[in-house]
Amino acid sequence: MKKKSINLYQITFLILVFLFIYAPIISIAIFSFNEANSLTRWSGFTFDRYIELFTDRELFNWSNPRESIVFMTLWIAVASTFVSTVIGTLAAIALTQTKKIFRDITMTVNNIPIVSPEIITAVSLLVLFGAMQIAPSYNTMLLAHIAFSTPYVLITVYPKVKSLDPNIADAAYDLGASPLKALIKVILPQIKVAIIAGAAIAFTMSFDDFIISYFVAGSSGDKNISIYLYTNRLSPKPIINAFSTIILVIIGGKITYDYFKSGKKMEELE
Amino acid sequence: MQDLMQVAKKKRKLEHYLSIPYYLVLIILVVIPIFLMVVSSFQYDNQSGIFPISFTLNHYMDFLKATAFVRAMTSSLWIALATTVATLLIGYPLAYFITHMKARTQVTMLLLINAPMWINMLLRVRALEQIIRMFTPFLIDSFAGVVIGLVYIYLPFMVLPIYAVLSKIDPNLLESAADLGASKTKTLFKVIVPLSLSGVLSGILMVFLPAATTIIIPQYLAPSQNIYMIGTLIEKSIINNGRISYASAVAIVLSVVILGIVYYIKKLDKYKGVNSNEKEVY
Repeated sequence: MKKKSINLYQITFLILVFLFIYAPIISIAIFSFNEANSLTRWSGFTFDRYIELFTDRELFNWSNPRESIVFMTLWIAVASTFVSTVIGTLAAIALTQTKKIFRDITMTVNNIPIVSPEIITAVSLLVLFGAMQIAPSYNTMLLAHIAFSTPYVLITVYPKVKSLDPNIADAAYDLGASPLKALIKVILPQIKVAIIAGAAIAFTMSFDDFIISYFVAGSSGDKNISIYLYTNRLSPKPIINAFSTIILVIIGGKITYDYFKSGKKMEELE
Repeated sequence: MQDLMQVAKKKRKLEHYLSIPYYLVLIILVVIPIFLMVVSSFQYDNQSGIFPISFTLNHYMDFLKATAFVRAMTSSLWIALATTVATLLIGYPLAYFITHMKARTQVTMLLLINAPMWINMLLRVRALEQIIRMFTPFLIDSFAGVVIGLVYIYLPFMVLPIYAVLSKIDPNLLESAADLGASKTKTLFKVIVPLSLSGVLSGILMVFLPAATTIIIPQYLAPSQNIYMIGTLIEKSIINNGRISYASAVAIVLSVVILGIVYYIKKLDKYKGVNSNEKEVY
């Protein structure tokens, strides 16, 4: 197939779009090295913001991690990812064995939290915790994160389980494998990639979640990173720029690594 | 032989029990909360306990008289509409140009468009606020400023589904259109655009819904709160006033409006499944 060449207008358009997407992100990184406290006027180069960041008692409390916003955000992301990945994966395996009508109902209900706007999920969970008289805290935040991650794990893993050849599991049973052994040795290895993808989605969603966390835990003073950023929005702290830059470098590094890895694979295929 | 089959079947039965924790999560943390939200919307505010026993239509009647709700709802829908149109005008050509690049460049372009989505949304909005304050401070506290913020965040949601559909259009179709004498513009509007309609509609849904229900963007880009959206209304009634029942009623009316919009947009999709191996994106 012949590829059309790109003309000047198209190049200008692409440059403008990418400038729009990346200019704010680059400016955040640049101003993290600013000497003055200002976010709009440059005065000199310094690493002070990074030192301030790691000694900030609210974000990184090295002696007491339970009081530290960064550590608690990571802990909730890890815990909710683990729980939702296990629950979602097991359900995906079981779901292929159930009747079609039952499966359709499950999928419809499963899609409710995925399709409905976050703010509606947030209000409904707030009402639940209010009715059960569970005080807002990191615990309600963790439960809420499990609630919205599990459906994503299920829809990520389910298509993969469905595509498996059922004869392989049957063969394992016929050869005398116990259900547990068949699960661990036969089924799980075949769907490993989908499970990792589901876990990655769950982790990112938990780590970056704002609205739901803010509604179910915001009034307690227990903050994750997003709530911290939001409540400090009117007094912009330069350490937030330093913090953003570190996250940018981590994510940028990961994406670049994946990109070159996939590039190598493509070359090998060619 | 028969025996072995029986054993295998029995063992398969055990797999059903694997889904018990999942259904507990689904029922306790998804179904019951929605049910309780509906119940709560008919209660008076500031009651506690699992089974309060009042019934009132006050919150729903409020919507008819109170201007705050009507104002928030209309401005949300207008802002979401403007955002959707803007993302479509930028996103469609962008996706279209990308499909004309080399395979490797296409991957790079999509990655560059996607990459910011992995960064916390609040950090990105704050970065944009910083740029706007630096270069175009008059956009702060304006309708246009909020729309620009929403376009900035939700543009990838429009580009990806459109690209997914455009890249699957059979090139033979374009060739036959050319052979049959259609000009380039005619091919674009008579062949490419109708075939990509399903991607466009997915994109519209994926941009419109979060844009209409945003909390973050007006708080950063219109801090004086002259632009009052439905998300702000819900946030204010819960966090500042503790009116959970009122917020539930707002959330329910919002859900009904959204369901109506989703139903209407899905009905527009008359070319669904035309392209080979097309998957539903939304």
